[in-house]
Amino acid sequence: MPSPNESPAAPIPPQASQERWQTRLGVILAVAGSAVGLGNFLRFPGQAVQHGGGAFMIPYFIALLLLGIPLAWAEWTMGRYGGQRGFNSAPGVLGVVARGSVGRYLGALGLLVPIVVYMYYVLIEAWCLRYAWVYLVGDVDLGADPTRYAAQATNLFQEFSGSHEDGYVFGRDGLLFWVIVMGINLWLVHRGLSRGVEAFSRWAMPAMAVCAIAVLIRVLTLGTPDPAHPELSVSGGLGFMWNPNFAKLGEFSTWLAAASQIFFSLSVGFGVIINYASYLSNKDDVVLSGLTASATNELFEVGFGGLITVTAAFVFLGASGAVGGVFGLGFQTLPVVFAHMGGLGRLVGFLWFAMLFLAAITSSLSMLQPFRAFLREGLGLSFRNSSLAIGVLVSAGSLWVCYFSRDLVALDTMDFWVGTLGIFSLACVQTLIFGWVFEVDKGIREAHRGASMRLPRAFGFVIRYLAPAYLLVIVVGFSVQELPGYVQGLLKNPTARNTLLGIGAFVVFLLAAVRVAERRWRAQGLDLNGTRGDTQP
Amino acid sequence: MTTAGWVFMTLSLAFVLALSVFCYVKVLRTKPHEERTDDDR
Repeated sequence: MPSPNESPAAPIPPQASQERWQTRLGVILAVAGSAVGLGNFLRFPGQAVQHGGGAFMIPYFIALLLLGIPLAWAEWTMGRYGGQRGFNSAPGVLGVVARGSVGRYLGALGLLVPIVVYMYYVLIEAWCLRYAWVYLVGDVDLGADPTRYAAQATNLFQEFSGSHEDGYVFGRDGLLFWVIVMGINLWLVHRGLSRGVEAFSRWAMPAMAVCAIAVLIRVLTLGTPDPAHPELSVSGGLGFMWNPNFAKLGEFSTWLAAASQIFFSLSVGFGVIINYASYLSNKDDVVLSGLTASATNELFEVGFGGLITVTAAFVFLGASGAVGGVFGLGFQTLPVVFAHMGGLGRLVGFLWFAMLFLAAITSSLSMLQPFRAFLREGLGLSFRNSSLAIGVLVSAGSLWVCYFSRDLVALDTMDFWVGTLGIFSLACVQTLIFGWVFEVDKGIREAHRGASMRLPRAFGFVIRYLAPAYLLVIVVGFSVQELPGYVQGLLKNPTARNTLLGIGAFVVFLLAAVRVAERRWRAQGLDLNGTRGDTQP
Repeated sequence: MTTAGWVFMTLSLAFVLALSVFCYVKVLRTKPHEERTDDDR
């Protein structure tokens, strides 16, 4: 017998209702695993150092409280709402939340973002696994001359990534690790939500924490390795990361960097939370679960990312070695640091890259699930066929990134146009739908269903006015800062242009697929606009 | 590291640690409404 809160007249897609999370902790760890990635350990410390050190934490925490957590709550709530009406994919969920076709077609962004990001992210994941492997078997040799460590580390990165030549990794070990990582991802997703993603996240997250704690202990006990340079110490490294430079708070770029970091770190606007939350029951607590997943992400980012990376690099390489982007810091600088550590460096290097691999795979797993949900409920594919279709699609896209590896142009193009602008766009769409179409009061009532804690009173105001305004400022600021360079890149570089054309073709395919799904759902008599038997207050 | 550096680091770590402990204690203490045992396929 249906409960009074469910819509009795609305049949649900047979594929959609079968998958469920087994435990509350499982879904929290799966969402947190999706959020915790390379950016927590590599991007965050780099941003903090560049934008005022400890002072960076002021705009960072403001963005967390005003943008990150409210957006996460909105996504959890919309996801569960859509799931209760039988939809697990972003087009289905946003269709019922926004009550119409516009939401459904905009929901295609929730398919595009995770699946395209997966295509390049799995490659970085393969690098992490390969680095972990070579450290485990002792196959890393940066030579005996410390002055040559940096050059050797750069050569090693080029060997693994092929960043100096298109097609370089084909026919070499790099592709082997890509195949292994791709196989693990597809196998886990094929096992299903609870037996694959949830079961894996439940041991991978604690394992990642153990690796992080081990590396952190080693870094914090480094002392002053070179007595000739007493300034290069753990205390000096922590100071380099945390000493506040308040003058930076007057710069717009600092606030933009802090908000962007929070935004990307929490995986809001990614299409994953909305999908994961759709497998919850009506009695599950989305408020506490959303907050716990966000808190876990922050613990890894500030607690581990804020203490390990820059400190380790500073102790051995000084200030000039402790700044850099994600790839520079993680894959080129830190191997030099491990080489300086001597015999123990091999173990620390293995733990570091094992941790990065676990962080990456718990994220990449989450990127496949939204598209598979759509293939099943929207296009009616069986469990096996949906896994097969995803395997073919992501392999083709990822091999493109693998092949066009020179200067990582294909990867960078996908990361900017989809992994950055796409995420901003989806977040804007979701915020506006939740705050203005779904209606805030209804959203808050929906969030409180089954919740053991209440949303803060300011949530309504924040999600309706503050978050969209905040997002708009970030989008405009980010576009002004970054867009001209990428547009120029498109004009100059055929790989960048062809990659964007491929993304455009995929968008067209997704919109056509949403059209097909819409027709199927109508033919099945589903309540695809969410107008029947609405939830009770 | 300056005193201000120590203050910012300590407060930041204390905040994320306290938030995480608060959340996990609440999650683990609150009885879930049900534990599913059905196969998800």
